[in-house]
Amino acid sequence: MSERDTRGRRVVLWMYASAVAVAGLFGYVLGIIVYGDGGGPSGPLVEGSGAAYGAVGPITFQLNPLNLALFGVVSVGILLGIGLLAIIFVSERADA
Amino acid sequence: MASSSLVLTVLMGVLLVAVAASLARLEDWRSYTPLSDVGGALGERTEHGHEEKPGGVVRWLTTVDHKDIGILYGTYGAIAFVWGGLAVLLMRIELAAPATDVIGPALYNGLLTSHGITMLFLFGTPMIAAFGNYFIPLLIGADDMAFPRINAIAFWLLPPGALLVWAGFLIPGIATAQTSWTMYTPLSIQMTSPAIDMMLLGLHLTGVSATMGAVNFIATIFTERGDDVGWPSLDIFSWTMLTQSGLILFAFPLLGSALVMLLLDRNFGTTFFTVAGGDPILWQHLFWFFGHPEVYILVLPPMGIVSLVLPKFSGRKLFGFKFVVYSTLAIGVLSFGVWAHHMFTTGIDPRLRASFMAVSLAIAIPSAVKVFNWITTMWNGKLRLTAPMLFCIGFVQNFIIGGVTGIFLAAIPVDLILHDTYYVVGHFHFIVYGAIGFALFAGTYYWFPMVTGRMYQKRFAHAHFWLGLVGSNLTFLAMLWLGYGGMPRRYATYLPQFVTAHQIATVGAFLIGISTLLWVWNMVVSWKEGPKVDSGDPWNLDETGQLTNDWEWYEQQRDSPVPATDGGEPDDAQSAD
Repeated sequence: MSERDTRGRRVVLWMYASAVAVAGLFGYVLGIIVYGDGGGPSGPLVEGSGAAYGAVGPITFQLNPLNLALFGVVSVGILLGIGLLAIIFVSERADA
Repeated sequence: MASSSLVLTVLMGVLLVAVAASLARLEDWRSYTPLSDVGGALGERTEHGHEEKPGGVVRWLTTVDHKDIGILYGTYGAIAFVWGGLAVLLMRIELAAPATDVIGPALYNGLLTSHGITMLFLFGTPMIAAFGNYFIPLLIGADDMAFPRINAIAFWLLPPGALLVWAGFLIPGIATAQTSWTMYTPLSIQMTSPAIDMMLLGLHLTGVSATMGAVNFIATIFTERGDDVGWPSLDIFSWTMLTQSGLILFAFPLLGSALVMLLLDRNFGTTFFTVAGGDPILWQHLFWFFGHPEVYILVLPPMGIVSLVLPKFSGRKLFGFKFVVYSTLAIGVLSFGVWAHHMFTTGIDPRLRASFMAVSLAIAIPSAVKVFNWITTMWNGKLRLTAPMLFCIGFVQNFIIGGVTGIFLAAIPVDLILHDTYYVVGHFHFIVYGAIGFALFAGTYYWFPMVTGRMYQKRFAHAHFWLGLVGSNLTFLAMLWLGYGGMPRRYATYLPQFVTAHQIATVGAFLIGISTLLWVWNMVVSWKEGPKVDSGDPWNLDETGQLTNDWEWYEQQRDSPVPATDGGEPDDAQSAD
C-alpha cells in the first residue's frame, strides 16, 4: 500500500476545523428548527409568543440561528482548542 | 398456546440431539482438534495447531480452530448487521412522513425492538468476539484459545439465540416482540405474544455464549501467552479484551438472572417486577446494572483496535501506552457505578441521583485521556491515510461528538428535559455506530490481508468511509435536533413540524446503508478476486518498528504454511505441558 504520507498535525487541524464548523452548522440549523428563520417566535417548535434569550455568564443573547451558530463555534472552538493546545504542549516536550 | 410452546420445545430438543448425534458420527474430530493443554487431545503439538481439517461445510460445523471460529463469528455478525440494518431502513422509510404510510405501529415497534437487540447482542458482541478469537492468540503468541471446544460451543449457542430473538418475524401468526431492547416492566410482563418468551430465551443463550467466551479470553490471556509476551509487553487490544471479559463476567450473569425472573413473572405467576406485589423499577435497576457496563463491553475492544491500528499508520508508537491501559481499567471499574443515570426520571432518591451524576461525569476523564493520547500520537506523526486509518480518524471524530453529548445527559437537569427524546438516540448512535462500528470496520480492513491473503479494493473502502461518515453525521445530528425540539423516541408517527429533521435522518440512514453495501461487496469480492498480497508485512510495519506478533505469525505462516512433518518443533517452542 502506498498511500500518500500526510503530516499528522495537518489532519488533526482539519479535524479541529471540521468539528468547529459542524458545531456552527448544528447551532444554525437548531435555531431554524426551534425558533424559525428570523429568530423570532415563528419557528415550528418554539414555545411562547416572544423571543427567547439564553445566557452564558454575564453575556445574554437572543436565541436565533445566527447567535446559536456563533455560540456553537465559540464554545466548541474554545473547549477543543484548550485540548488541542494541551496536546501541542505535551507533544513538544515529550517528542523533543 | 401452551401446547404449541411445548411442541416447539420438544422439537428443538430433538433437533439439538440429532445435530449432536450426526456430528459425532461424521468423523474422528479429534484428529484435527488443536493440541492445547486441555485433556483429550491426541498427537503432537504443532506450531500452527492444525495439521489437517476436513473439507466443505463439515469443517465449519466441527472446527475448534480459533481462526475458523473467528471467521464464523464475523460471518454471523455481518448477517446480523444486515438484519438489523434492514429493520432500521424500514423504520426510517416509515419516518420519512409524519403519518403511518408504509408500516403500522405494531410492526414499527417490532422492528425497533429487533434492531436494538440485534445490533447490540447479535452484531456488536459477536463481531468483537470475531476479532478477539482470530487475533488474540496470534497477538499473544498462543497456539489457540485456552479452551477450544468451549470456544466452539460459545459460538454455536448464537445461531439458535438469533432464531429465537427473531422468532416473532419468522413464525407466522404470532405477534413480534414489541418491548424495545430495554424490555421495561410491566409492559414486557403484560404483552402476551410467545415471541417475547422466545426472545428472552434467545437473549439468555447469547448471554451464556458471551460469558463462556469471556472466561475463555481471560484464561487465554492469563495462561497461554508466549514466552516473550509478559504483562508489560501485552498489546493494547488484548488489554481491552481482558477488561471487557471481566465486565462480561460480572454483567451478563446478572442479565441472565433478571431474564429468568422476567420469564417466571410472565409464565409462572411470580411477582418480581409486577406492579402489584413486586416492583417494576427493580427491573430497571437489574437491567441497567447489566446495561450500562454493556456499553463499555461494546466500546472497550473497539477502542483497543483503534489504539492498535492508529499508531501503525501514524508511523510512531501509541503515545502514553500505560495511561491508555490505566484509562481502560478505570472505565471498566467506573462502568458499574453509573447505571442509575438511565433512571433519573423514575423518581429515585435525589441523593442517589447526585452520586450517579458524579460518577457518570467522572467517566468522561478516562475517556478523554484516550482521545488525548490518540490525537497526540497523530500530531507529530506521518499519517498514511489508508482505509483502516480513515476509519480510526472517523472513530475519534464521532467519539468526541458522542462523548460530549453524553456528558450533557449525565447532568440531572439536562437529562430531565432530554430523557426519552431523540437526543438520547442521537447521542448513543454516535457511539455505537459512529465509533464502535467505525472501529470494527477499521479492524476488518486492517486484518483483511492476513485473513484472506488478498488486498481489498481501496476505492470501495474509501467510498465506504466517506459515505458512512457523512451518513452517520446527517442521521445522528438530525436526531439531536429532533431531541432538542422535544420529539420523543419510539414512535412511528410524529407531528408535522418534525418532518424536515426526520427526512434528513432518513437520507443519512440510506447513505449508511449504501456504504455498508459497499463494505459487504468489497469483503466478498476481494476475498475471491482481490490482488494477492506479496509480502507478510503488507502495511510495511517493520519500517517503523511496529511489526506485532500477529503479522510475524502471518509472515512465518506464508513461508511454511504446513507444519513440520517430522513431529519436531522449533527449539524455542513452548513445551506441551
